[in-house]
Amino acid sequence: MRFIDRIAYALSTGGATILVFLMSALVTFDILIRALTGRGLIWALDLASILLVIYFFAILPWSLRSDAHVRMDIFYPRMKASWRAASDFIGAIGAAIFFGSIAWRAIHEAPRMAEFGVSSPTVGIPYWPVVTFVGACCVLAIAVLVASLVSRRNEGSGK
Amino acid sequence: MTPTLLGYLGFVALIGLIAFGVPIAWAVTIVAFSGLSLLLGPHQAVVQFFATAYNTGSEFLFMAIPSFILMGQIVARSGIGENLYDTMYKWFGRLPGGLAIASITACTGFGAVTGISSAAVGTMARMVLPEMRRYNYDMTLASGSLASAATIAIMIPPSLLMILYGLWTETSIGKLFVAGLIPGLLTMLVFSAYILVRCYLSPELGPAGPKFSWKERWLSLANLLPVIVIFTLVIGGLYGGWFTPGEAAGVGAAATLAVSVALGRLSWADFVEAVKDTARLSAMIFAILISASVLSRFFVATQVTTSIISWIAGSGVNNYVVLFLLLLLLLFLGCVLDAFGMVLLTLPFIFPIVTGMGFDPIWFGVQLVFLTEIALITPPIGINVFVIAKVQPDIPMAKIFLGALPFVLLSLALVVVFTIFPDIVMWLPNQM
Repeated sequence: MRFIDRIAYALSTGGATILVFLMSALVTFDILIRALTGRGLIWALDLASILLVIYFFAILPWSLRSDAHVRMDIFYPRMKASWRAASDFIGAIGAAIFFGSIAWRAIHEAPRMAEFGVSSPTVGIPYWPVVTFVGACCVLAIAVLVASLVSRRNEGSGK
Repeated sequence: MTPTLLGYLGFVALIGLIAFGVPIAWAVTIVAFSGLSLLLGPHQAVVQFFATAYNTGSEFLFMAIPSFILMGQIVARSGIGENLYDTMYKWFGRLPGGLAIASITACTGFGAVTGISSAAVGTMARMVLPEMRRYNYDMTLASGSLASAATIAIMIPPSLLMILYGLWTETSIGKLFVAGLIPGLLTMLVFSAYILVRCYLSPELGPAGPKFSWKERWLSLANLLPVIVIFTLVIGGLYGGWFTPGEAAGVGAAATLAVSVALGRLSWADFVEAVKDTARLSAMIFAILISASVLSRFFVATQVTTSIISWIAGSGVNNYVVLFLLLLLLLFLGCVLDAFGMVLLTLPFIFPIVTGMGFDPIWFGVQLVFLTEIALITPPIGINVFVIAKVQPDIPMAKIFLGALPFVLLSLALVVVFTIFPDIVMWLPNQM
């Protein structure tokens, strides 16, 4: 497995395991505290929302390698190899637009958020590290995409 | 080129790309980005993608997506499904077609602790089909009934499709959950009655299984305890106003994990596999959710949806005829598209039309999910049929589709019943 793939896999598996556990534990703990004391933890919602966005972006790069994204499977399996390659290539362009747009904007937004101190509504958790992480995950996804295209081309040419 | 024409061209391009086999999320991205770039400029398109991705990803309600999926994945690996089946087997196994009826009732119970149908069918197929084979069941009926039984799980809360519908349309998820309960239980009864009558008339299709003593039956009810605990906690907490749907999902995942670990049924390797499968499915849904949100903004900007609604309103066609055509369209799309993709892609068009005609959004949400459920067992893309064929490769797919056909027809009849008598769906949510 390539270095890029290893990072994406580690993020998707290790990161997701920790984050899912943390989110569930945090929410349950907040509800328990609310039931016992009559008022919840004011930072719980802020933190859970941030963990959630980190989770979603952590799992996206590896999803490109694990065939997670569904397609209409009626004509595709019956198409010639060259047509299938064309379909895959168009899909890769779509994925590149998706991740490229988010990464591009995140790169611009993170310094602005740091400068103006944009933070979560109740306890002021700064957003710029989160947006930087989002941008980094999208850059990683593009790298996974390119690596995947290169390896398919090499397989196609028998290298 | 007028914006509306651009919108229609975008619609055609989207159908073309999806038919060409481009993954749904990326096909939608291409159309949404190109359309918005032409309409508002590339900078605005980039801004829309980032803002939608960030806002969606950090919206706490969306925690329901990975959490409810994880719940299903843990339940599928923890043996809770096997326990459910064991109980139903002891209660219904001795009836004609009893094993099939047991699988239908077990799948309904399974639905109470999972949000996805594939978890139910994968778990049940491994244990139910060999048992049915042992009792010389007709495999067309056996496999078809099992594929159909698993679809009921989607209607029983918590249901992932209802969550997506609720999030997208800003309809109360709590009311949607309640609304699915009676149709789900009714489907279970109708499917069970059909099997009973059919096997009573032709006993060779589903011979009666072994008889268990009353003591064994009553003792087996203890197997239902984990399901009752999890279901009561999640759904009871939601209706009791203790927590929101997002919180309910988090608590549900934590409770399922705790129950599975307490029962000693979940290894670390199983948990990691459950998390990996959750990540794959969540990533797919998240990508479609973002791209479809941007696409819907493009269609709003082009006023395509408004023009369709105006056209329908001006055509003088009866609302029920329009509804019938829409349901037919959904049924067709469900046959060729993945359930999540189908729901997220069609809602931007169909929801304003349906609500514009005065139909209740809760009622329509249940009908939409019900139709998606039917699509899971219809060719060419019947996911539940694929799962069974994968678990039991010696059963030809055509045989499973044939076996599921009577259940498809029964489900369609139920759609008609729910349309004629909407109170069947709306009675419970109206009590809230």
